[in-house]
Amino acid sequence: MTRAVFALVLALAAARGTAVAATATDGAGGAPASASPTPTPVQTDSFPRKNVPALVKEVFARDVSFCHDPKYPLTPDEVKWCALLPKNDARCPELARACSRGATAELVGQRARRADQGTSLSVPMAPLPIRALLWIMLALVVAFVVYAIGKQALAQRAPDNEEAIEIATAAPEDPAAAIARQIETDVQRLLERARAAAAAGNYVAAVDDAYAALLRKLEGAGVITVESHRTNGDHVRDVGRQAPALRPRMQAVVHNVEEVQFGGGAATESRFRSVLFDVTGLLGEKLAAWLPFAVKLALGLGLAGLVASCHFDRDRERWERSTSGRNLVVDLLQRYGFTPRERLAPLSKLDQTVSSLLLLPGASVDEDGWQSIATWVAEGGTLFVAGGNHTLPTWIGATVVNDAAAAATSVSPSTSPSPLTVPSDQANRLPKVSAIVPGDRHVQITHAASNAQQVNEAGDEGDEPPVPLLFRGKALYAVERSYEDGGSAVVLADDHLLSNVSLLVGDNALLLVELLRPGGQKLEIAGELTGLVAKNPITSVQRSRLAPALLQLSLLILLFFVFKGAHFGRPVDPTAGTRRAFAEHARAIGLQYGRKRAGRHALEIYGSYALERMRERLNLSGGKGLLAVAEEVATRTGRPLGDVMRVLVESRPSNHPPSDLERDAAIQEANAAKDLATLRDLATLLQHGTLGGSQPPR
Amino acid sequence: MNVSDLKGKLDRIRAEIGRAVIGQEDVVEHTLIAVLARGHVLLEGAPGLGKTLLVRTLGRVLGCESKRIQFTPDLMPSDVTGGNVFNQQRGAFDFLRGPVFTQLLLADEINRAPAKTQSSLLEAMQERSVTIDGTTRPLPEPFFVIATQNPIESQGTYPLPEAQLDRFLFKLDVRHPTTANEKAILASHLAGFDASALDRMGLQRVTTPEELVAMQTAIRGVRVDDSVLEYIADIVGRTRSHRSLYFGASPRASIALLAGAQAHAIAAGRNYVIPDDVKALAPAAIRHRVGLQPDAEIEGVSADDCVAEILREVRVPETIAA
Repeated sequence: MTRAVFALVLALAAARGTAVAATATDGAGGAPASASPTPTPVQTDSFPRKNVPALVKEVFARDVSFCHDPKYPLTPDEVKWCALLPKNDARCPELARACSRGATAELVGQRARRADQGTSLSVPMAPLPIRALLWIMLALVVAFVVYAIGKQALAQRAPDNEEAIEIATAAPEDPAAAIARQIETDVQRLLERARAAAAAGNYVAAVDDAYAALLRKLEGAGVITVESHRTNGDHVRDVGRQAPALRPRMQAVVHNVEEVQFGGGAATESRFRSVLFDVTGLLGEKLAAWLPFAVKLALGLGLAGLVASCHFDRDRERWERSTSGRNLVVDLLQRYGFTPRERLAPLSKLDQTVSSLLLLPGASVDEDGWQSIATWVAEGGTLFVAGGNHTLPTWIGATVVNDAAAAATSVSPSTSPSPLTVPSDQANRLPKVSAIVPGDRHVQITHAASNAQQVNEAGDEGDEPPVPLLFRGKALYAVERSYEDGGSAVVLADDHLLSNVSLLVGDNALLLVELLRPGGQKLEIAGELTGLVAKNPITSVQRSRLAPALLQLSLLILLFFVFKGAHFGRPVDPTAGTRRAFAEHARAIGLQYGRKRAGRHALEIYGSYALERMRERLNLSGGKGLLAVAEEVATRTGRPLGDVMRVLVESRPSNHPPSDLERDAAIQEANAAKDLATLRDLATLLQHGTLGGSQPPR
Repeated sequence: MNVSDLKGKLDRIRAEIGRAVIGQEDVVEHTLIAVLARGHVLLEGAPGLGKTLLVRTLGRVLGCESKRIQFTPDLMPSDVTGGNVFNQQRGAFDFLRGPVFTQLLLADEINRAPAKTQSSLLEAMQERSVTIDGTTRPLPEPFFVIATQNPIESQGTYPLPEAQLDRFLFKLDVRHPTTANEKAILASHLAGFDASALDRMGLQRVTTPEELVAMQTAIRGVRVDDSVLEYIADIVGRTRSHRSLYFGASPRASIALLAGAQAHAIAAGRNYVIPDDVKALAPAAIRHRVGLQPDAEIEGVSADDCVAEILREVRVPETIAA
């Protein structure tokens, strides 16, 4: 990278004000510390070395399926590892036998991936307690559905013959039982109590209990609603609406019961038997319970489906545990001291909290992503590129070449895997190891051409070119380029070192750890899922595969509200028209007067107005008193003079303040009604007593 | 006369009335119940809903002598009750009986007459007698008044005084017919039905006045449990403390409700009253006996709303609800 580019990057970093104190990197050959005080160094805390072979042994001590299944299916790519594996490896005893069967798996989920197809580490699984809870919930729902079906089936098989009317013997009812009678809601207990009461000779209570059992059954089935204000007739009508065929039988039961309750009919054994016979018959009917039962069933199935649809991505999980997978690699790194984490956020948001970034073949990096990575590397981050078909930016100074596809390459593809060797000048960077991986890719350094171009453009010629880190035969397997500002970039020919089976081969595990170690503990792995940020909620739901679950949840909510009959919102009256009649305004004003208890005030005002109009219309403006007006109005309307006079007098303003008694709320309310009546009378007199027309109402 | 006989008679009366009056089943039912309970009925509704037709048909089917008074603003009390008229030949006063001396009196548009004329019916409706110039003359049995009135919002009407309203057993709202019923009415008229010529319809007389009196007497024997009495008292009592009511129903409302419930039980083929009987008749028996608070009236609360609210609050006897 040229100085100019780095200067620009550093200026941007400084402008964001993200500078933090520089920390030294690991001294075992890591990226050099930045000499510049301006960049914000990536935190690359050192951590102690551990015994890698021992850790590998611990990792394979787990229940690794490909190590303990002699018939474990291997893909052709995986079979290439077989020749490299140690014989009689105690860590993975059955893998050799699986290898002897050859490639038996072409397509087993993601395991049959193409060589160039990108893969990534899985999203961490839901914790075991949560999964256990979900399965327990599912089991409970299934049990509930089975129970509901069984209960319904048993209810339909309830005997309705004479045997059902066997009267049990029981002790006479005591007062406590009488109290309990008021609140008993269980159908079977009510029936048993009815039989017990009948056995004790208390047929009134027996009939009541038998009938109560029927009502409770109907209530439970959602056919009727038992409330204190609802009569038997209400229940019969409800039954008639929901199960018309049962109405006559229900009516017969009610008739029998009401004869005892209200008709003075004797509660005899025969009547009780009749009631019980009808009740047990009705209890055995399906009633209209299908609706609530269907709702419950739908709720149960919906919940079960919801739980079952929680996507665990089993194919992905299986691939991760395969020979080509990476779960054991991640386990090893964790045991060693790394904190590997799959990166989901876009690379454009890469920040200093990440010390190293491992770019897998499946990762998709756009222009912004590379720009962000450049900034991050400039601040001390360590980038690892594990093969793939990425078009690497020139500032890395290297690229990956596929030997099989690139016939024009200067390096001939090797027919058999060669061991990986560390060049002598990298003895401080990597230990001398015996490592080997299959594959037909190599790394090519492109720095020279790139650098020449950059020199022409920016006049910058101070960067060190990439240096070989690992050779596979004569071909380059890994190169590293360090930048003077502290960061570094390592390019590997492929990602084979990061597969589970690689840990069993030679010192591959040690080599991997030592390669990654300079980058620091906070390792993020960028794969297929990195940067898959949805641009809208619909895409987000689609990518998260939650659409079925959300649809089911919506259906459940809808069913629940339909079942409960609840409103989806607060019930409101229909919106009134924007234009209101004059009468509505008048009523509104009247309402305000009424609420303020100002009826008297309104009457007085209207009284003065009405008296003036009367005098004017009756031509009594010569100082005539109330009596003259009243006489004229009475003559015209045919109403008694006293009545008219009373209305006129009562509508006149009062000259004395209201007394304490009149301030009493009850008196005020009574007076308000009286004032309203007077007001109406006065309006009638004014209209009909002075203008003629039909007779006025009182 | 047993319950089944009574019910059979009522069913026949209903069927016969149904030949002339299409729809309005509730009004017909309540009117018959009121007749059995020796009560008077106030029918309220817009003009043209068949109120007068119902009463005239009822008179024919019940076999009762019926008369009609068209109430007008200038109608005088003596026009209703009759009065003493000087006979010049005898040189003495003769009593000229007014139209009230009948068995079924149709007081048509009763709210068009002034209160003093309306009040002339007070004694007749309550005591079933008429007192004129100190002489009390009994009215024939059976005697019942069916009054009609237009809604009080109409022009030129006099609202009935509370005392007058209280004399009516039921106040029934006659509503507009459904579309289907209206179509049936049109078809009936198309077929030649003439409301002013009921003779030509051949309506059959189902009862005689004597039988009707016997039925009214039999109604009184219908059993009413104490719990039902308590239920009635509770309902009526709550009208006196309801927040939207200026004044509540009088004990006469309780009596009316009781009598109506007994008749309702007979109509259902029972010789005992159940809470359903009371509940079914409570609005008709109470709505005209209560007064609304001014604010409630302004806010559009009706007496029926108050009664419905009370019925939702009062506990039905023998219910299993906790």
